[in-house]
Amino acid sequence: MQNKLDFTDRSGGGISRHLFDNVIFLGPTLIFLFAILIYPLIYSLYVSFHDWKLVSTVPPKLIGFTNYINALKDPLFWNALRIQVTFILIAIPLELIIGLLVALLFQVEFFGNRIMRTLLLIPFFVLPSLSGLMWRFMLQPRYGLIGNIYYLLNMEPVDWLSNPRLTFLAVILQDIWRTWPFMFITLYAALSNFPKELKESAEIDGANKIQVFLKIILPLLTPAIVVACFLRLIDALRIFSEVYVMTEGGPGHATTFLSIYIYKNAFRFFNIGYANSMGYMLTIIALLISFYALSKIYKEELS
Amino acid sequence: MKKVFVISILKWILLFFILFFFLFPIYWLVITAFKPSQDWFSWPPIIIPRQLTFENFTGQSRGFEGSLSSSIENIVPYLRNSLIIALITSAICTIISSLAAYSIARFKTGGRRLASWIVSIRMLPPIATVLPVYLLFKNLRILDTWLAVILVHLVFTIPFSTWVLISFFNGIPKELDEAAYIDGASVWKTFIYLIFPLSAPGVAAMATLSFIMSWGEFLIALILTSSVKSQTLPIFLGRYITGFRIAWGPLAAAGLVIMIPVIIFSFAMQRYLLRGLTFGAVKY
Repeated sequence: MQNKLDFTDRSGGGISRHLFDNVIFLGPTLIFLFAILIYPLIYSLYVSFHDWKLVSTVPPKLIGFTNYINALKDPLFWNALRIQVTFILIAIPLELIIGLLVALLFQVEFFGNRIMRTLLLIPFFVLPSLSGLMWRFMLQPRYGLIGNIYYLLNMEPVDWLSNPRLTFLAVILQDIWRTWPFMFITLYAALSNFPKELKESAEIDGANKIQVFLKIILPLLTPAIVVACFLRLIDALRIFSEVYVMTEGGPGHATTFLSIYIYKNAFRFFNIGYANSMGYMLTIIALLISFYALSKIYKEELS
Repeated sequence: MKKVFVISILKWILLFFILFFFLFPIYWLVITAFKPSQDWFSWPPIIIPRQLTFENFTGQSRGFEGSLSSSIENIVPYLRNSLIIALITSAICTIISSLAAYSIARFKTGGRRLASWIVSIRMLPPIATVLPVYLLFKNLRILDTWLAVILVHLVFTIPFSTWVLISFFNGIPKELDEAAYIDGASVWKTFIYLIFPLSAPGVAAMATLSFIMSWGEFLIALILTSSVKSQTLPIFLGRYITGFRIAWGPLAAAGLVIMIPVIIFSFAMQRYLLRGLTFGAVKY
């Protein structure tokens, strides 16, 4: 099955010949995306220029860029951004390393290879919200799994979810636990597509395992690593449900990621104009990253 | 032969540790779902249960004072909401996106620009889209209905499914279409009787995946719903966990109910799922 998009027209006549059919083929998707995506995004821009309260009898007031300026002055906004960046910088490299090591482990054929691979994928298929719930449960000091570890070590249990640093660590651990199989299976798939002769010929030439890895495997693997990291980056930028269920952004503001801070502003403090302005900034960050990455990664596919 | 055998054993031991470490949280959830109520809060926590029970599923566990839910019975309306929303989302998404994908794959409508625009929709943070949608739906008075959730779920499933289906349709030789045209079939007939059946595995995979995406979605449903009328199962669980003294047994049981279909479908559709998740960048 080929994955490449082929945009050369061989149907003879192409768009003009099928104009009417195309309206029906593409129409529903385009109308739909316009109504529920593009229009709301434009409306969001409009809302973000207003002092707009969710539950209030006072009509929204046009205030220009004030919401954006307030956000840039808001220490909690910067705090959320800092948490987001720290999280990305710690979690994604660790996921990559674990995924890569396990993927390499699977390169030599052994008995039970397939079933092991399948079992390792299970955490990846656990829904984020359920994963947050499970971790919250495990971290209960008295009756959770963590309590058991403290018991075995003969120590008084510590409540992770009331300590800011440990809570942040727990969110990272949760994320690594759930998503490293994605890195693993992506890199495993890429590794399996390499020609075997390449490695063998290098070994015949006297290269040791580490040399083979650094000089041959790693350069060939780089495109897959970039794609996997990019997709994880996009997901990490909008992390919400697992954190919401696990910590609700607390204790204090220790795990208030951007999405959670925006959510709280809109539905706890009812300041939806302000929330929209921050949402817009998040959208722009995500789109800049994805346009840049897509133009690099999918260059051959899209041209 | 002998060397291979020794390597196999060593790997198994190493992998067994990895597996044990990473699958333990799931094991914990599963045994909690089957623990009788007196074992939920025992000290030290019980790792290997002495006694298993179905009470948490059937709703016979007594619970205790202050617990918010003592049986899985409460989840029935939420289960209904989840099922209806996910089924309708999946059905509409499959129809709309296969039409769009066919047009993009065969007639190159919109060319590269339209295709990359569709991919980039997946990159949008949902919170930014759902805030204005909340305000618009509030004016239309359709908040807290199945329709509201379905419409927004579709925004995130259609681009995903269209993108993957484009590559499926590209895999079907163009000569087949052309032969059908020469025999006098219209574009529609060709699509319905020829292309659709030929790409049935791909279409079925996308239907399943959009079902899973909608089934497990949290943020959109959290914002757009507010009552038992339309709240989905993940929201129900997420809401009750914040209560004091949570009845962990029934919660874990409800968690299993959410998780099992996802895991079964995901494994059945593993290949397509991974291709979709990497947007075809990695062939698996």
